[in-house]
Amino acid sequence: MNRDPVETLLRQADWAAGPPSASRVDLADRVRRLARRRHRTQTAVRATAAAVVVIGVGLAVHSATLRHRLDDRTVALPPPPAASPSPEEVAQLRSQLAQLQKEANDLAARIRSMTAIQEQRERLARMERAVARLESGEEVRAQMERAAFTIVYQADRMDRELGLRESALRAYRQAIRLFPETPSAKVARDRLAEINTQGDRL
Amino acid sequence: MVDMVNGPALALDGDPLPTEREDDGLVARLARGDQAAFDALVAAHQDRVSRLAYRLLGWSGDVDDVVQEVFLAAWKALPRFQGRSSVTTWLTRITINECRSLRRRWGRVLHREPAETGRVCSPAADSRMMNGETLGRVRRAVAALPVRHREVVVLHYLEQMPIGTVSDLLGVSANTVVVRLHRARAKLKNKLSDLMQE
Repeated sequence: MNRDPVETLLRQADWAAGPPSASRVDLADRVRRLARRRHRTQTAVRATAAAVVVIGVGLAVHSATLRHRLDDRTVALPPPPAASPSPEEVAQLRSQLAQLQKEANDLAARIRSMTAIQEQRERLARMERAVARLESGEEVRAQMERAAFTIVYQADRMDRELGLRESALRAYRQAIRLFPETPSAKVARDRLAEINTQGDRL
Repeated sequence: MVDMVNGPALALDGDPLPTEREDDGLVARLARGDQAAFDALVAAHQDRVSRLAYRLLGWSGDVDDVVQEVFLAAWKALPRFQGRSSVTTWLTRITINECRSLRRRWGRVLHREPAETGRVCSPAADSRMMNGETLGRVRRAVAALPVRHREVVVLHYLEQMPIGTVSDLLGVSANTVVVRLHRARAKLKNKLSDLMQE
């Protein structure tokens, strides 16, 4: 039967590319943790943004009120030469302005700090995961299983799709010899037993 | 001969897709907020999602982050999932969308060559196996396809989905899928004709 050459080429490329990275056993937990973390971050950012808006509006209203009061005083004061508010009032207004400015600056600094902390936490979590994988030998085991899986995967394709039985047998034996303790080595043993059984029947 | 419009969906490497009955049970449990159901969902579909993402992104790079984002999007969308489509279809759509987002963010398909996969082919088999250079040519040719064409090529030829299923997933008509496949094939033949054995 003539196979579609485009499809054949794509499937060969897919086979040659090998399988993707090995599956992670803790993916569901990681997803839930990540969802909770992002939700907390979004909530904090929204609350901070709302606070900034409220303070900004408050500052604007306060400034407008101050200007209005100064204008009123200016109108109410007698004509020149020296119509100005008392030094105590000026000092009090300056103090209030300074306080509001300080609050706005503090809030902006907290936002920057929270953002930096969140980034550091994410970096730390990534590093912790990498260290945990290395310490538990999980990464090494995963690499061994991946290598064994790749060999058995290709051996299967050689046997079942290309009819290269001998090459497939060599590959199965290689997977068993190099990675005897892996699940894929067991699969390779099963395959060899199956092929031997077929040979006996013939 | 498989009915290419309405035939069953079967992944390229022969792994059976989770059955509709299994998915129905999961949907009911997910709707009740059963946490173990989400664990079962991930366990049942993780490999398939990983393989699909790997293919959609051009067989390159580590797809762990993409797979994580797919299931994170699924976790967030659980309250809205009503089971009108199967869990398999739902997750496939999410995977396609996440891969599109990733390509938009990065502005290109990842072109990093895959690590050595430990090929054990004998010299006699070389003529039918694909070496790294040829694989690179095929990958570049597929990467050069427009996104919409690349998706139908992966879903139909590599994921072995019938035209009808592909059209449902992408939200376009079957005729549109056929046209995109035809154009993708023409472009691939133009670039890789010397590699194709008729």
